[in-house]
Formats: sequence, C-alpha cells, structure tokens
Amino acid sequence: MLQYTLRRVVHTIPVLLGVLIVTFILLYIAPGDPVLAMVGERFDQATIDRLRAELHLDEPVWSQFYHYVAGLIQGDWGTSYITGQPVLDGIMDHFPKTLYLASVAMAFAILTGVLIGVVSAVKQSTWLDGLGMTVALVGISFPVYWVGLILILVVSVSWRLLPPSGFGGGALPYLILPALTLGMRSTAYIARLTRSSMLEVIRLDYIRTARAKGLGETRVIGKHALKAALIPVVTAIGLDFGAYLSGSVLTESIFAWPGIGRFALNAILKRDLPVIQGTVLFLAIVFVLVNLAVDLLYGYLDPRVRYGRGAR
Amino acid sequence: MGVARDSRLTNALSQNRLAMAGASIMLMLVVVGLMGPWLAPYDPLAQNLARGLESPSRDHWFGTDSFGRDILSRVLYGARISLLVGVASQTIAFTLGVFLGVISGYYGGRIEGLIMRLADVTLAFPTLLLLIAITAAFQPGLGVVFVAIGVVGWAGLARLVRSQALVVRELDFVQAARALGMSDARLITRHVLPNCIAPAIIAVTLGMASAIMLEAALSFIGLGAQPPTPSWGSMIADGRDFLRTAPWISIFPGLAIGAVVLGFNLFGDGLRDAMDPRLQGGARAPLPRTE
Repeated sequence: MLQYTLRRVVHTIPVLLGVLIVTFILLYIAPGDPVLAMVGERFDQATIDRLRAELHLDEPVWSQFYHYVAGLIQGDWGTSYITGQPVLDGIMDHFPKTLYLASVAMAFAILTGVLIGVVSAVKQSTWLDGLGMTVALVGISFPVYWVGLILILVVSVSWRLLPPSGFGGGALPYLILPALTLGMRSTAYIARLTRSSMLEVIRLDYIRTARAKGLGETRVIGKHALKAALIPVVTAIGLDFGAYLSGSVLTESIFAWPGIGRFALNAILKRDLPVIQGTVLFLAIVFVLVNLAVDLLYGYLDPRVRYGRGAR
Repeated sequence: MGVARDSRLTNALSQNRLAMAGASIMLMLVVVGLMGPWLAPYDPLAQNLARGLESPSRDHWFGTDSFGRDILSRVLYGARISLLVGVASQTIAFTLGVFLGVISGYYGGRIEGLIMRLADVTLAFPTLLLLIAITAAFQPGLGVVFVAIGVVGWAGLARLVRSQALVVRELDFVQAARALGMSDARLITRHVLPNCIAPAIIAVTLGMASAIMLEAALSFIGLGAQPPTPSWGSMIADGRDFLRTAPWISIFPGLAIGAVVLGFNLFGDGLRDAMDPRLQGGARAPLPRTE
C-alpha cells in the first residue's frame, strides 16, 4: 500500500506542473495588455513602464513563468483588476460556500442514487426497475441549468415554497434547490452504476453461500452484496465530488450562489484575468488532489488495483 | 473482429427497441440539422416586436420570444448548430486522439511517456472549467468552442486507442509483417490502425452528445454562440429574464437538448448491452460530466 501511495503521489507531480504551465499560457496568450487593464485610460508612459517592470512583463517568457510560480508559492496569486482584492483572498472567501453546497448535493445524490440502484437491481425487470432506470436516464440527459430553471419555475414561482436564489446566510431553504439541481446528475450516475455493479455481485458464489446458510434477504443484500457492489461506486462518487468542488459554475450561476464557480464566471464575464487564472489553477489543483484521494481510497478498498498498472 | 461478430452485434442492436429509438432520435438530429431551413415555418432571426412573448398557439407552436421571433424555427435552426458542433469537435478529437494514441501505443518508450503525461494534464482539468478558460482567453464565439471541445477531447480517445494499439502490435500477424521488413508507417496504417479504430469510432459517436451538452453550456454562459445565432444553450439563457411570464422561451430548447442527448444515451446503452450481454443496462454512459 505504501509503495502504491508513493507511486500515485509521485505521478501527481508532473500533472500539477503541467496544470501550472497551462494556466500560465492561458493568461499569456490572452489578448489585451494587463498593465493597460490595470491603469485603465490614464496613459502615462512612465507609470506603465514602472508597472511592466514590477510585473516582470518586460522579461522573457521563462522568467515570467518563474516569477509566476515563485509568487504562487509565496501566496501572491495576483490582484483583481476590478476590485483590487488579492485573488487568494477571493478564493478563500468563496470556496467554503462551494464546499458546503457540494457536500450537501453529494450526500443527497449518494442516498437517493444508491437506493434507486439497489432497488432496481433487486427488482430487476419489474416496473420499479423500469421507473428507476428511466428517471436515471432522464437525469443524465437534461442540462443541469435547465433543470434548475424548471425547478425555480415550479417550486419557487408557482408553488412559492422555496426562495428562487441567493445564499440566505446558508439557511436550509436556500440550499435545497441548488443541492437538488447539482446532485441530480450524480444521483443518476450512481443509480446506474450501483444497479449494474449489484447485478454482477448478487450472482457470485459468496452471496449464494450467505443465502444457503439461512441469512435473511435484507441482510444478504444490505450487508454482504452492497459492500462489494459499492466499490466501483466509490470512484464515481469521488470523481463527481471533485467535479462539484471544481466547478459548479452553472448551478451557482442559476441560483446566485456565492461560491467559487460564480466567482470565476463573474471574472470571466468582466475579463478579470488574474482572477480567472487564479481560480482555474486553484480548482484544477483541487480536482487533481481529490482524484488522487479517490485513487488511494480505491487502492485501499480493492487490493487488486494496487498491483495492477495503476488505478483506472 | 470479423463479419460474424459484427452481424451478431447489429442483430442484437436492432432487436433492442430502446436502442432503435435512440438511433431514430440521432437520425432525426441529422435530418433536422440538414433540412432545418426548409422545415422552419419562419425566419429564425426575423423580429416582430408586436408579437413578442406570445404563448404557444396555432401560428407559433412553441410561442415567441421577447423579440417576437418564432421559437419553433429557432429550435429547428439550433439543431444545425448542435449537429455542427458534434461533428466538428469530434472530428478534431478523433484525428488528434487516434494519431497520438496509435503513435504512443505503437512506439512506446519516451514518446508514449510524453503523450500520456500530456493526456494526464488535459484530463486533470475539469472539462467545462478548462473550456470556459480557453474560450475566455480567446474571443467568445462558436468557432473557438468547436476547436476547444475537440482539442480537450483528444486525451480520453488517445488513452483508448493506445491501449488497443498496445495489444495489436504484439499480435502474430503484425510481428510477422515487421519481420518481413514492412516499414513502420505502412505497418501502422495497414495493420495497427484498422484494428484499433472501432472503439474510437464508437467513442466519438457517443461523444457527440457530450459535445452538444458542452456547447449548450458555454452558449448558456455567453461564451459560445453570440446573438442572434439560435443555439439551444443561448436560447435557454434568453428566457431566463422571462421565466415568470414566458417560460416557453427556455423550456423548448431545453427539451430539444434533453431529447437529443437521451437518444445518444439510449443508443449507447444498447450498444454496450449488445457487446456485453451480461450487463443489462446500467453502467455509466461514456459522457464526461459537464457539471
């Protein structure tokens, strides 16, 4: 396990370096002069030259990249063109709200997804299975932001049950619709995956043994079968969770949720390049780290992975 | 491989009613995408402010938007953009992915290491986020979106093709051809490529659905199709301000996206069942998550 862990961690380093290079290039090739974006219309060649030197823009590319990485390590992630706020502060303000929304959405998706999947597998080819899988198929086919709008239309506008958008200090009524919307696709994926994995497991010998020794059906399914069936589901959950943390851009924008996705989107619409670069980098790092955690967890749960050619 | 297995596959597929329904939807997208201008009852860009925000009626089956444009006509034209984004982006992804995948699988060593690390980096970014960053770094617009989706999509395909090429290059007939002195280029194009391309074709076909989803999401945010181009995603965004008074503006383009993606998913499920009859429906469709 130690060797596997080390191998996966070492494997992550070139990936992170690549991520750094890509985000650097994105800003480098973006049209527009960053200095002009900062000083606006006040053209004063001396100030512009001074700023260019301060930002190392008059140096060759590799040197600019060096200063970029050195700054990142020292906690200098740049400053917003629009608000003048340090980018890292903005990220730290908004990320917890995304984490909150993503956790609740994922908890909801796991509960409903596993339940639908297990019921569909146990009742294979009945109307319950048909219903569950239809819901799951529809869930992965419709765009998240569209479903969010429909939910707002029905639940908030027509029924007046829940607020249509906003954070509301994190109060539960404000959380329900965004969490439902964000979790919908995972619910569908988890349900489909749980079902197929469960169908494989309940045909295995040890399940037959458990039945033969007289265990009740609930115990056989709920304990013995589910434990093995959930291993592939864990990966899916982890990857989806990484995706949620790193960009619930659409859901946050629909529900005016003040998370990091909306923070990044606002920066993009205003072409606030340092914020775009900082958030993209931060979210990609989070994504890579969550994926690493998932791989390690998977290797722990399923020893076969450790000795194969690496996970996935 | 071979004829026997192919015809068995087609048989199993054609007996799967859901898969056939999916195939019909895919076919319909192609037909509407090509014939849209002849099917649409109105000019999708023609404004008629006197008849803005009308609910669905006999004149306007899907109603009109705030400019009085006919939603049905705009949805039909939108199919053309979705079809185009699907085909264009997947062609780019296919070309890049198959080329780099075969090269790395066949040659191995340093080249393989380099290409696969590049793939790792590409896959390290959440797809939608990377696309947003790319389109924002350039000028927002459909052209950038086509290329960006294609360029981002190469990595998964390259991994797929590489794993096939690794197997094929060790097969006896390939080894024999090499021993007879066939050149690498000829070996790759004549023997390796044809034997590892089938899964890639399936992957890009199903990948069209995710390309359509991604384009719609980017256009919804405002980074894809620019007004007045009728992309399904931007049409949903147009309706956001009129959700209370004229919900049909957003509802119909969303239904169109859902129907098309559902079609691809149904077909994809059927295809997987036909290739692996042990699993009857269920495993994850090969769609990347857009959210």
